[in-house]
Amino acid sequence: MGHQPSILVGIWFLATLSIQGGQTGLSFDLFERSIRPVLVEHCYECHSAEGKRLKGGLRLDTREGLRMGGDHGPVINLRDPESSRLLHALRYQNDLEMPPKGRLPDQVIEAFETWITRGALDPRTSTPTPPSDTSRERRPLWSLQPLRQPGIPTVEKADWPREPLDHFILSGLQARHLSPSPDTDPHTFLRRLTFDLVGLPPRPDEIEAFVDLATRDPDRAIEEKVDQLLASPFFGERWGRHWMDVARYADSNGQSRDVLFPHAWRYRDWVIRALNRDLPFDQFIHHQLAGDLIPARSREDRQQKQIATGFLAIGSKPLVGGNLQLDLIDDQIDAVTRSFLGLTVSCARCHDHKFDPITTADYYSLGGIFASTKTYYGGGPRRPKTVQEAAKLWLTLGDDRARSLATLKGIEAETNRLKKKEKKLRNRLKKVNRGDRTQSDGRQALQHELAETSRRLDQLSERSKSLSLVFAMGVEEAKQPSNLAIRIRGDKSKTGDTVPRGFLKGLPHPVTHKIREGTSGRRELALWMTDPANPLTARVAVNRIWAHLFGVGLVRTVDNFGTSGESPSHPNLLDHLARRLVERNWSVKSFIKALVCSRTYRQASTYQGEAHQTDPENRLLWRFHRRRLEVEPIRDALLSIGRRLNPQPPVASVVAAIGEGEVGRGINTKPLETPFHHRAVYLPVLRTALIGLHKTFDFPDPSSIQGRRDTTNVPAQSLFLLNSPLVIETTQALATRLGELPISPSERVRRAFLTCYGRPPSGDEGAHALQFIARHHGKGDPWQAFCQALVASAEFRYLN
Amino acid sequence: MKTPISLQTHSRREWLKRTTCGMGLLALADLCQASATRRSPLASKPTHFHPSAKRLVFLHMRGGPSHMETFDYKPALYRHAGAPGRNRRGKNGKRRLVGNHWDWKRRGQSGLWVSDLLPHIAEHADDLCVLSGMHTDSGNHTPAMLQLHTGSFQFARPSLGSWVMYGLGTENANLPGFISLSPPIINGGAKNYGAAFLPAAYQGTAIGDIKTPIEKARIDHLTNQTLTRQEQRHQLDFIQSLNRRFAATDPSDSEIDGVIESFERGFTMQSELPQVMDLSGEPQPTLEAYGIGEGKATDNFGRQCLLTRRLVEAGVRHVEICDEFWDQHGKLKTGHGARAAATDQPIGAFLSDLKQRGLLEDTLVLWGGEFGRTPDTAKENLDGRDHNPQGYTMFLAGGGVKGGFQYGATDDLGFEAVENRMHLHDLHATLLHLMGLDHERLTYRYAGRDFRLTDVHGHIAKEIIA
Repeated sequence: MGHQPSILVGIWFLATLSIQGGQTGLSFDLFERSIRPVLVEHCYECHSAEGKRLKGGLRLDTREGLRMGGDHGPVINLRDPESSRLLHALRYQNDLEMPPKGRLPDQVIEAFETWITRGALDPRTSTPTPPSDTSRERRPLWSLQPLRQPGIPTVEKADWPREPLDHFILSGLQARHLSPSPDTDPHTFLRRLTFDLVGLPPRPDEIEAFVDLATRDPDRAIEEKVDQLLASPFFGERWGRHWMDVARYADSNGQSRDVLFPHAWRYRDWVIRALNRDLPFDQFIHHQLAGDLIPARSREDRQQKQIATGFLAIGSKPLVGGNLQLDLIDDQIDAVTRSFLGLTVSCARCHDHKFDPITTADYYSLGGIFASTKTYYGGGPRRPKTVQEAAKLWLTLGDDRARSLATLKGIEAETNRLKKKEKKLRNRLKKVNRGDRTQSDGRQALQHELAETSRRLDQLSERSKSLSLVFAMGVEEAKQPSNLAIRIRGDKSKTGDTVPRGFLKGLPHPVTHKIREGTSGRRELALWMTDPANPLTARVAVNRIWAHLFGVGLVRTVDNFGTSGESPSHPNLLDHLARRLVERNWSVKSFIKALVCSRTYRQASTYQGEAHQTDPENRLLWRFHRRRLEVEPIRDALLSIGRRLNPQPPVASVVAAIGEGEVGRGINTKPLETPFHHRAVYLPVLRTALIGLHKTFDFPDPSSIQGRRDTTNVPAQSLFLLNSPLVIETTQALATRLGELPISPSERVRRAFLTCYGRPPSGDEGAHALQFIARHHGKGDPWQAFCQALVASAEFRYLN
Repeated sequence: MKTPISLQTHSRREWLKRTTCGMGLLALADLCQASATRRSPLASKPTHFHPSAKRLVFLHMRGGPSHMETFDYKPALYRHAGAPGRNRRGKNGKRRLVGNHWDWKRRGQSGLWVSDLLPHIAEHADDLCVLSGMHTDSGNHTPAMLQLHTGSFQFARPSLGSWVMYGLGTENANLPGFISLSPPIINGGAKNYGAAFLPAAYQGTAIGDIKTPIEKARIDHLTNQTLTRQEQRHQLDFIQSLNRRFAATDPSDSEIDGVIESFERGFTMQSELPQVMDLSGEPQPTLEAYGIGEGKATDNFGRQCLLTRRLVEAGVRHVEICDEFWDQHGKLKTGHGARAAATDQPIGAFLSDLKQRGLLEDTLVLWGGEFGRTPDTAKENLDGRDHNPQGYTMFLAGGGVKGGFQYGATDDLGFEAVENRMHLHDLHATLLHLMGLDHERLTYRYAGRDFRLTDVHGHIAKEIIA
């Protein structure tokens, strides 16, 4: 300090002045003269918005940046200036060296010391990075507010509503001087209802019976039909597939190593069963997150609960090139938070969420839960050679699993011991053979012992094979639960503070389910998810169901209830429905019943000019949304009209028939080529090799969570409908069946319309069809050409 | 985009009805094509700024061709053949530098170095923009392939071609806009031409696979076994009449218009695509130039190249063709020799053909693999090279890039890119730029945030733009 006294005295003087005189122009002289030029010249290159790249997350070009610090925390400490990391760096202390090109002269460093000691006054006004959507005000996020209990609105047309939800819809319409559309005709309604609930078209005899009753007593006809469809095993197959879109279900890993999942189907079947037996939705969540930790009633029940945790294991992971543990956890956090909460928490792997109240600490505290969980995700490209190896890759089911595994372990140890012994015996035998011939007695004994050892080894191998274990994908508690350290900017090698396991602290609901010592916390996470005070879970769930029945969600971004998602069209209705779900024991079937028995669901989809002017997007639901069916009902309907559909579920899956392996690397493809007539939900989903039909009709990417499917109309679809063997065969079967009936051609046309469109021909449609059939010449059957035309045209794949 | 209210709230059909004043609907249909295709996800779309390339062709030399055997002349390396190389972490093999296998010459007016391995491509030296400072993140085939195609190997992301389709749409709706010829089944398989979370309409159409000669490759459902074209037209007219009746019930819904249009496109595609795919009408000299002929080493790749020319000529936006494995850890000389023997002549002919037809000006051609190869080997006989993601070479031609130009360099031995380094993200940004798309503005909202091909990376190499 001593060699530049004059400057220092000046600095002291100025600094003192600045404090006494408040923030006057003069007070910033020290900064302007001695600090700012140094920052600009030596630091901005790496620590400013203008810099080539921002290092350590530290910005020194604004006052805020300097005060806030970087990835490693604050760089100046006004209370204890000596501990300021900025000074350490400048002095080249404590492993910090800044600027990296060379230490700055002592007097510069001293100027910084003084400046910090005197309060680090900084006149710069920050130029904050503008938020990406400036029109959005920073309001508290609607979806995080507690569920309200909205009263049922009173409406003018009191005879219209049938369900409470109708009051909300009608009052929304009336507020805009709109009226709901009239009820649709029974034919259209039955087709809508049947596809919506079971994913298949109604048969002509069912149509006739329903229409007959509906014209006399529509309410009764509908209620009976709804009950019948909800009780059908097809219901779970239809709605299970909806959940599988969200659960990113697949039969292989995808990404760079598309390793097969021959046991994933157990989770698929679990989902379908859960929906069919109306497992309450809160338990549906509990089982998927922590089924292994929930007491079971029976052995079967225990296995089912273990299988449910497959939800956490079936994601797509980078098996090479990433960091498997952290990537696996990331997939789990993403799946859990987006599917149940509608929040994109995985953004916070690298930085605090830009819009939503989710911090990096939240992410890693959730991450700790999954770090304390052992995930049986199916392993890498190396195929298991023995049952023991398989038991390490797959979750082994069953009560006597521990015993089986212990036995296996014993067998393994014994095998190793005997193998060593066998080797020794062989070596000794070799020596004896080479050496003294007089020791022939010893040789015989050795030979005998060797034969005995080999026999024992064979026995053991047989025994280990006979211990047949049942495998699934899923999770169990890790041996040692542990917390996870924050990875700075998601960089696996840069660890920050370790955070205790927990949930999202930004969610304004006070309930805490304390994670017990020695457990992962999955059980508590599940309880926290479905706690009545959690505002998101029920809202997200009812919105998903609503979207499947009404074409769009009340919140259209069904997977995103965050700031970047949309807000609800009917906030009160959403809360009313969410409460209803919770209050009626989370029953999905009874919830669906309320929706499809509503008057809103019964509306025609007919165009109305005036309403369309007011509400072109039909957000207020002045009519039913016409929409295209997904690939599964399109394909199942084709098989169904051709009487080619096998209504029984298959045993296991096509991929299970293939076994262990990897797509593109010499797997047995025969099972993939065998004709498959079970419902589409059971078709194999190989992540890098989707079947053509799936690709053509907008099957969602099974590596991503996608609660809402795209609808595109592309030439590949028309080519499929015009030329594919599946369409030609099924329509030929329909034509042949119609031809065998002792009925007139016009009656045949009527049956064909009923079968394909769920309605008889109207106006001149019948005559038009007969004309086509009469004029169609070609090698094939004109009735087939006609049936194919019905199937190919838009009405077959659209719901009115 | 400002559109008249009538277009926003009513369908094309209703709009047509209001404005036709007695003109036939079909006659007007062509006039109104712009408004009709506006609704198709594949419709041609405006670029962000003036493009220098309208089409993109990727000649994918899978496996990692060696830069030191092709375009990156390394005299110091060849001089020191046999000298110690660099031991890799965890491996104590005695690696040694690998020398020269082919002679080198300066080519054309520009004097660009190209080795004798690729004599036909060398003739186009003055059109080549050689990128010798390439580097990428992974040295394993599959992640590197995925990153090359999608920008990421950790997450499922849309492929380059899907982004291009999403950004530009197609020039010829009667053909698929993005075609991958003979793609590999492994190494990420369909992910390399997949749309991931972009709408499925933007995914690539695969024709054949790496194990099927392109001559035998077929597209699904392109032909009808029972009906003649005329008979099918009769059936289609009936289908379309049903569609129009259905559409008429809701004049506000343009989706059924999309269905009607997709049938017409599909029907035309049935005749147009096989025509484009059919090489039998090509004159003998063309076939010979491409090296097409039974038993010739160049036959399969020659067919792919000629087919690609026909596809881009017909307005296909993006075509990728794929060669077998340039992955010679051993037997480099025979292995690379064989790959070059199969591809060099066809590529040379392809470039000549594009140029002669005036297509090279606005067709951007990219050549290269997922990474390069190491200057050294652990092989005793010094005949092999391993994977090298730190430095390698690709080349561009046509489509508004400088010709006879080398950009970027590796160190004297070829280990890593040291000058004008170009990461794959930078290549992607530059390719999109040349196609008239701003890689920072070409975004798609998914899972609550806007995604880009280049994620948060990507610098445009302005220096290479003519």
